Amino acid sequence: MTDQPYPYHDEPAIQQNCLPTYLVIDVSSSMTPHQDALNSALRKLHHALAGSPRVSEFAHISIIAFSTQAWVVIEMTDMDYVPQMPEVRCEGATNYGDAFRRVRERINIDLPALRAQGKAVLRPAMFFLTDGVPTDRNWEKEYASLVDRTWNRRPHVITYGFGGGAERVLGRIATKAAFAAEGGTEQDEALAAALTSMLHSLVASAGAGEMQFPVEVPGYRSIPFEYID
Amino acid sequence: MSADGATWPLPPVVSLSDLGDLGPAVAAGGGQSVGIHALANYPGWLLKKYKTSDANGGVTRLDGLVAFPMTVPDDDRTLLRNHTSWPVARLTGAAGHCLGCVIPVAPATFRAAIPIGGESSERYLEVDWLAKPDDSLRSRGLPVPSPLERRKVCRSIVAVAALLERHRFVYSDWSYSNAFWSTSDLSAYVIDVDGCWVTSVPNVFQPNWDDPLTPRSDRADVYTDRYRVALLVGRCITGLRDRVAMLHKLVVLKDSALGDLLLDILLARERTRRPSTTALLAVLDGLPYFRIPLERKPLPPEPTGVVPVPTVSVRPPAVSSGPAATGTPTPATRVAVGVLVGVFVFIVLVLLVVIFASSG
Repeated sequence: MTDQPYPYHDEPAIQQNCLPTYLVIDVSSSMTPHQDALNSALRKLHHALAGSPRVSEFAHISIIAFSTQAWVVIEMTDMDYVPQMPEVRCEGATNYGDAFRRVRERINIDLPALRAQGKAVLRPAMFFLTDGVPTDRNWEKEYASLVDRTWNRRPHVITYGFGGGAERVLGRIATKAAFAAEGGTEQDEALAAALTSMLHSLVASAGAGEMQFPVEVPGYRSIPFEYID
Repeated sequence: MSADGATWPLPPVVSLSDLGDLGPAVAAGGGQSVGIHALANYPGWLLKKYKTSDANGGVTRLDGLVAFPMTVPDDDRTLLRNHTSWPVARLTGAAGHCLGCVIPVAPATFRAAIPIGGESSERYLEVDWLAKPDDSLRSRGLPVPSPLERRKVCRSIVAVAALLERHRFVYSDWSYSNAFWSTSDLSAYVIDVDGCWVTSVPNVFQPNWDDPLTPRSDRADVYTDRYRVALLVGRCITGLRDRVAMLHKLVVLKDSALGDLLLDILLARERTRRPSTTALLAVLDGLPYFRIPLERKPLPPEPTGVVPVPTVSVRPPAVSSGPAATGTPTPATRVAVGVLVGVFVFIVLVLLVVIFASSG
């Protein structure tokens, strides 16, 4: 798979382009003080996507939450089919490895399903939001498997970090862009800004018919990332 | 003519100082525009500012568009004024360039409240919301148009397209976002028409609106417009946005004349053989389709995958066996350890009995 849509027929122009998008959110216990802000930001994201049919048909979304374990909150879908955004609860550890493993597992399920629906599927995008460092020791193995260059379904990874300590890890995980909240930014604002940035990226992508990566995010600074694509 | 029937009071060429204060932006920039502002001193009118001066043959083109309504019969002029955002003045700068244009505010009849996630927001109702299945509209609490009502809105869109084609204008930018529709009188309002010109214009790229017979690098012409108008009508009539699914639905459309005509436009092997928007308007008016035989490409195969209803889980699944990720022993583990301790104690007791028995 390249960044160009895979043709279903001999006329690529006739297929609907689709960007499978994974929003992976840290719901560990350290996020508990920001649980309300997180749920509010998710509701606004849903409102914006469900309110724009041409964006939601292009950017199909799956939400995966992770703490001690990772689970699929919403399976890959056009947000128009989700009447209301569910509320997540924050508790538990910060298991990056399980999150990466879950994303890889879902990509192998979701991409063939989207192709079977006749869509021209672009390389998936994973937006990763976290407020802290991982608590599991062997997450790198699962991460390496997720971004393995020999796996043609590997996703683009964009990371957003707020709270202390995550910056170096975010730079290691990102493959396209990494952002860390500025020191003076309130974490609730940082959460909202991260999801707004993701939304703008998806709207721009829908307008262009291909992935458009965020370049700058208010309240955040770009951090260098190590991945060479 | 603006929504309240007033005509534009200033000359057809104006400067920023003529317009006075600009009100708040009503729309962000997009395409050739950097933004659209209300005119504080001229309610009912908007200023659309362009990114680059003289974009797309600016001065000549805009002046031609502004003058055009006065050169056509009354019916055409009324259609332009009431169902498009036709420009009424060119914005000029010190060097006489084209910096933008003045357009009317779209009438309020094209606004509607759209409920999303428990909230409701009023906005102009784009045909984006007509090109959706009945179930999707119903689940959102939006009015569900009947097949006849869908047809009426499409007829209104095609009336504008046919007028443009009659006068050799090319629009190119037919899509979900460039037409509003009214739930009260089922008419349509086409916007961004200030990009039109005669014969050909730059081929505007919109994802999922590509004409497969017009390379993106070519200019758009009347045949590109026929394709995109047919695509828009096909999607609105069927409520299906996926092109292949929509084509298959057209085959079994109850109005077979309309289905046949749309399929001819969308599947014609040669783009110059695509039937005209005038023919499309006639069929939408209930007149028969006098088909001139043309060769169609075969229908692409229908996808087999079903769009699933997504499942939602707010909590992680329960862990059924083995130690939890935190290392806390499970009840099963505790029982196993207890059994081992019990066996160990028994063996020690037996050994003690044996030792005492052999020493006694």
